Amino acid sequence: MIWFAAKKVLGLVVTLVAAAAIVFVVLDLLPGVTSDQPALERFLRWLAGMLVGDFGTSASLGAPVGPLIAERLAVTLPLVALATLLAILIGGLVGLGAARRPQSIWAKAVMASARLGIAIPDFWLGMLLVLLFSLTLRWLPQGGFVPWQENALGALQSLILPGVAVAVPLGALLARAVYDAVVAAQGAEFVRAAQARGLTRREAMQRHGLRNAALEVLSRAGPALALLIVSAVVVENVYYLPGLGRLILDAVGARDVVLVRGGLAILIFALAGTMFLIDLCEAWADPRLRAWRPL
Amino acid sequence: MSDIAATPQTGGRRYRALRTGVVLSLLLLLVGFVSIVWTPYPIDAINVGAALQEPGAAHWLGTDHLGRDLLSLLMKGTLTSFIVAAIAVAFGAAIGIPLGLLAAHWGGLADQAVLRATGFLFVFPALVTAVLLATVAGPSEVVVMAAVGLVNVPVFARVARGAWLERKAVDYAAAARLAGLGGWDIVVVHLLPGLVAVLLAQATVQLGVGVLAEATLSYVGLGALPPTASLGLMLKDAQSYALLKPALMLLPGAMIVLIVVSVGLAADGIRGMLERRSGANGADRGAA
Repeated sequence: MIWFAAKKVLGLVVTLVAAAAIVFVVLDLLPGVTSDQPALERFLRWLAGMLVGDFGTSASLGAPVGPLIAERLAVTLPLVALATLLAILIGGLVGLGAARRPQSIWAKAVMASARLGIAIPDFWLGMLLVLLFSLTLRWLPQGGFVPWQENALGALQSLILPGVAVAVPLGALLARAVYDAVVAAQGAEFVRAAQARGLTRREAMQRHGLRNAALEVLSRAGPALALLIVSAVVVENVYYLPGLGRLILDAVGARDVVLVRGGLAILIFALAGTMFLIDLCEAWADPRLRAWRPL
Repeated sequence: MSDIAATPQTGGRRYRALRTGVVLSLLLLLVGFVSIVWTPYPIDAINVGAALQEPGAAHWLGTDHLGRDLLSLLMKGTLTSFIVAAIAVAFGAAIGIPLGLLAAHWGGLADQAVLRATGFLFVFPALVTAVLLATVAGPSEVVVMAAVGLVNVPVFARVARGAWLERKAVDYAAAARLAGLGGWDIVVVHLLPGLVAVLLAQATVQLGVGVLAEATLSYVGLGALPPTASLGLMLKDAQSYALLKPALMLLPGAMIVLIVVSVGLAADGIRGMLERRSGANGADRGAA
């Protein structure tokens, strides 16, 4: 496991540096950013700066990028956490529920609505929720954000609708993955063999089937789980949330190179980091994956 | 016991899904193509005097905040969705398929390198690439095509690689070799047909992914700009009028869902058909 983790850490570092290099080189194409220093030196300076939290200064906002990003992450990260929790809850409950009676009308109806859930654009779902719960029923705020230190409950309240909008498409995807994996495990030979040894169907599933199904789900839905932050930064726009997404997109309009590359670096770090953790989880649960292999 | 009873039913349902999906997708595609030669109104005709009209004889679905005909915008937007998604699929397939096939054929280091590269592209989802390109070149549909196309590259590479490796190992390929067929003949006669079907199924899936991505990126302002009609752009405009005129918001979104579901059904149908076909082969392989 140590070898596996070391290899993965190395992979993570290489990925991050390579991705940063691509971001840097592409943004360097923009006229007006070149200075006297050679590009390689500026790239290394940027990397070294980020390691100590110095992301440079935003030209459009006239402020250091590091604190700007940190401030925005206070909105985006709680949104991601809330949506992840909701998605796992929806996916797990719906998928497991439907898998109990795979051929029933109910299971089929649930899985058909999961198909619909996957096809719904997250931001449009967000707009529908605003229309229903904010504009019509007036239960929840339509948008905007109260800072945590001012009113934590209010802040949480303004994350509920965006959280649901981000969670539903992913939850639908998870539900399908859970359903497929559990149904497959129910028919798997090792579960049948356990039943033949005298375990009840339920015991066989609990001891042998579900573990395998969980791995299956993790490897199928893992990337989607890691990509949830992308969905979150999009949905932020529907609710006028001052998160990372708004920051980056405003920077694109202003052609603020320092801000764009700082924001993208954080986004890429989040993606690669989550995927790294998911890989570790998988390897922890599945000894076959962590077998020592060179390269 | 239950799965034995279930098999014919599942197969029948899958063919029905395939038919429904293909027919719906073609209908939507037709709507898009018709908009090239005819829409009820030109979509760049701004007429603020006729803004936010209710559906009526003149404008079947009403007008938007600039007085543009909603039906015309929906038709053109559908066309944009399909075109952008299709070009992104072509881009991903053109680069990804050769990469995947070479990786599978050469194996070893080349295979490792391609797998690493495709894994690496995970940190460049469409939004990241689109932000990068739009900062340098300004937002446009081309930015979206490139960003989504890049996402498609590793998908096609993996599928092509997997399908090739799987098919190279099957008994009928070995049998053909024993029967004296040359390498190229085996490829053309026995391997390509199956490969084409698998890749077609994946292309259909990616078409749906592309339609969703186009809407999303245009919505956040990285894609289509006016006067180009895009379903995502319509939703962006509609946001300020959600209460005043919900149809402006409901219809483009419903259109996106309809396209993605139709294309998804077609993709599932194709895949189901493949599974049924390869099911027989799979049994042979298991016995051998």
